[in-house]
Amino acid sequence: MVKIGDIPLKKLATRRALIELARKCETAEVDSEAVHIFVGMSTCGRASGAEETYAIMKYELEKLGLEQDRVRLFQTGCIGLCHAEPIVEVQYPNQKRITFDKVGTARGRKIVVEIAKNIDGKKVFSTGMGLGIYTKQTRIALRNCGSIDPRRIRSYIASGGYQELAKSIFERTPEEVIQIVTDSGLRGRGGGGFPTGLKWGFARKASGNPKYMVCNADEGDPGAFMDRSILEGDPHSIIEAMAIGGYAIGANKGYIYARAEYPLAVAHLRNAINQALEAGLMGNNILGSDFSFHIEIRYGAGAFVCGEETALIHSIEGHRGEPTNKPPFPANSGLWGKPTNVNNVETLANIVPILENGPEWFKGVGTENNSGTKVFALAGKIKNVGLVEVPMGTTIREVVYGLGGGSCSGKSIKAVQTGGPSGGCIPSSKFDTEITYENLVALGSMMGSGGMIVMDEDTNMVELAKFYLEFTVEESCGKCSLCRLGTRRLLDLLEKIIDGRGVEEDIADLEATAECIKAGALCGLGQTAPNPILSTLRWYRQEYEAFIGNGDNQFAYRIDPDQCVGCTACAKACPVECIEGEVKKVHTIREEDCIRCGACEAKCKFDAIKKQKVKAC
Amino acid sequence: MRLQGGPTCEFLVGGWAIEATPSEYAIPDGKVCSSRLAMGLSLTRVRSVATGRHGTLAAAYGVTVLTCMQCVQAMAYRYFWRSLRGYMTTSTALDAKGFDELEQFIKDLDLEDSCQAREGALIEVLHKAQSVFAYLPSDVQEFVAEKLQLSLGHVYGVISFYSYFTTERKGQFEINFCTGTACFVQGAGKVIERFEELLGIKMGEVSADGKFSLGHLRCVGACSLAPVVMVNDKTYGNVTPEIVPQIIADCQ
Repeated sequence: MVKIGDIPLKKLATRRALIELARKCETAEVDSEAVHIFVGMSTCGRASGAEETYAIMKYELEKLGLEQDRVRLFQTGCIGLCHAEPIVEVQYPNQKRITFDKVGTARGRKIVVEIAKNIDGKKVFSTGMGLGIYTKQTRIALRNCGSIDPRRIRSYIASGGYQELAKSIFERTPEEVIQIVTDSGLRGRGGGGFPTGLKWGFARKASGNPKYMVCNADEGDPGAFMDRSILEGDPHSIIEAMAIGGYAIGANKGYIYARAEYPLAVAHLRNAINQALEAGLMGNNILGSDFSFHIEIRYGAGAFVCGEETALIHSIEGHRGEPTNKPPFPANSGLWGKPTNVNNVETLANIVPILENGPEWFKGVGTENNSGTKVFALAGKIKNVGLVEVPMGTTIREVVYGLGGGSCSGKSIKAVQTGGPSGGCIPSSKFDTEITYENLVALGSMMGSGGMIVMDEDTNMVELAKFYLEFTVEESCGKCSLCRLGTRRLLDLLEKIIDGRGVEEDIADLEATAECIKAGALCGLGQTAPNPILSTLRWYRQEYEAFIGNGDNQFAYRIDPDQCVGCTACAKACPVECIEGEVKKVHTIREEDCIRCGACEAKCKFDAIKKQKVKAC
Repeated sequence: MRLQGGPTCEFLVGGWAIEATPSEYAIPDGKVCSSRLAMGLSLTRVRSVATGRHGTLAAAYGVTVLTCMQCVQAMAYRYFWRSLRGYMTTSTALDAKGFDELEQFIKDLDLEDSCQAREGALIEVLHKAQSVFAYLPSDVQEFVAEKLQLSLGHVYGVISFYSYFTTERKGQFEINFCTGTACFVQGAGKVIERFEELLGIKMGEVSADGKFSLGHLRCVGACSLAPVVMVNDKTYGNVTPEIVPQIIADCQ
């Protein structure tokens, strides 16, 4: 799948060799005289036809016979504007990039032709997206996504890659590296928010040999794709960060646990590891030093619970991914009983910039206890679906409206869901909250991995809670009874309520069961599974109560006169014969006789029968 | 610790003849499996025993031998369970070339000679096996268990845990729906219903002619294209019930 046409690097024997290579690459790659054309080729780009666009543009360039030093065509990773793929960006020397959205093959060809026509006049395009979306972001973790070619190590080296690894090995002690990371205030971006420097310190102090460095690339949260983007667009940065982490904690072996659902990310990682090995930047005696570091990729196989660090460790060991009690923490006893440090992809993506620019710089971004940025994957009923990276402390309103562009359905935005199935919803009345770990928890949600799903007024919050519960029930590993049985019970209660059979006590039951599961479940999955219910109950209790009320069924089946064609299938299916109508004429349901069995809805092939809420008088 | 290749030994456990080739089964922690004793009527002195929580007693000719559970499982399996296949699907005419390919893959992994390395390779090998055979029937499970020197129970336990692995044959065109939140919010339910309607099968089923199967996928991370449908490796984005007939037509 990954076709690389690069000449392999000769093995770099010393640090000096790396510095010289970097200088050469910079001149070659970031040539100031050529026009650069970037085509976004991550998964969403490819699924939208970027491969065809790239092929056509390449063909056109070759046909026009333009020299490599006048125009250069690059493949790049996810630029973040996923709703507008395929994306092509054109950069004239010393000028801002011009972004083109939804570039099909025809438009791609036109862009190349127009560049060729004006190649000497250096005329800038008058069309283009002109998005302010970049200026509002602070891209640290995503700094290289969209600007380098992820398949080529030279591209990464040209932007300063592997310099920090070299510096750490030759100029810093492991303790110094850990101190820098601790001082920066970097917290785990997988959702827990645990201080990374502290975690590395524990692993360093732990006794045991060998130690392991593990990267958690099992991005299981539905609706989150930040890690995929980083792995596809900038895999070398993760590899470098793992090696630095290995140096810091005293590990010589690293594992990247990647989801099976991300084949392109895995392909890019594999390619990057091989290139780094060839170049002497990974493997035995890196750059001629005493430090060796090897990385292996291990596959997930579709288990959400394997995002939990102990379950992940057991999965790497080749067992069922069932979590185990903590303590002992992985820092003391992890993979095969040895000290192991597990970090999220986004956390690792911040390591190299922190070392490069210093901890004070990182602390300067964000707020007091929340330094740095967070990448959010905006999805749902929003215009600009994609990735945005904002400093901690940005308000939700700024993210949803300023960067997200507001609602795409024309209806008003009701709430956002953060933290996936472990998080909760935040109503629009709270959109002026600053995004920090603590603030989101106070609102009944959590940061999570960064998935932010936007919902408009058409979304029913009880159904949303049920959707998350269905997911959690299926993903529960089954080891501890509270999660295995408790989540099932919660789902049963929700189904009962939504079907209209609920009574007032059911809501109290929901709350009590939820609190119980939170208190006693073995791992994070169980402990946070009730969050969607608790948060929707907190903010949208009235939607639950609308399903209940006085013990009478509070919904009815209605036939939409615009859709009904009069096929009589529903009337034939109705067990109590309460549907009236002539052939080829709109039918109606006699609500007083309807027993709300739903047989008509199931039978209707024209989507004309809907279950509608009836307001209690 | 690996035992030297030795003669197959037989001993009786509770009246059943059980054959074991102990050199095939290495035990973690460097203990020696003592199942290579008790040769029929001529009893060999116990050289060392496997102890710990995996030890179990098998009485043979009045001599008590201790053997690790893995050996007992594997040995019992050979004689009892091969005939009790009702709980696992059997394969029909699996390509022998597939097994060769799988064996070569395992060889190429160049695994260290330790239980830890072999166990750690299991998921990767299962991924390869599923890509070769399209599903994991009992023959394939046994093959993998044998090559990686793991118990069948371990292999089956791993397969049944992870949703990616399947023991059922899928359709020629595997139609998978992303079950992520963004897809849900954008109306994936309606798309699923339309597929079910047009193909005449429900989620999780395979059509009678073996052509189509409907399944779930965990979120593929292409949320800008919600709802997402994957047919084998091809991704369709922004799927609405209206374009479902076109997708099905593409599958011919």
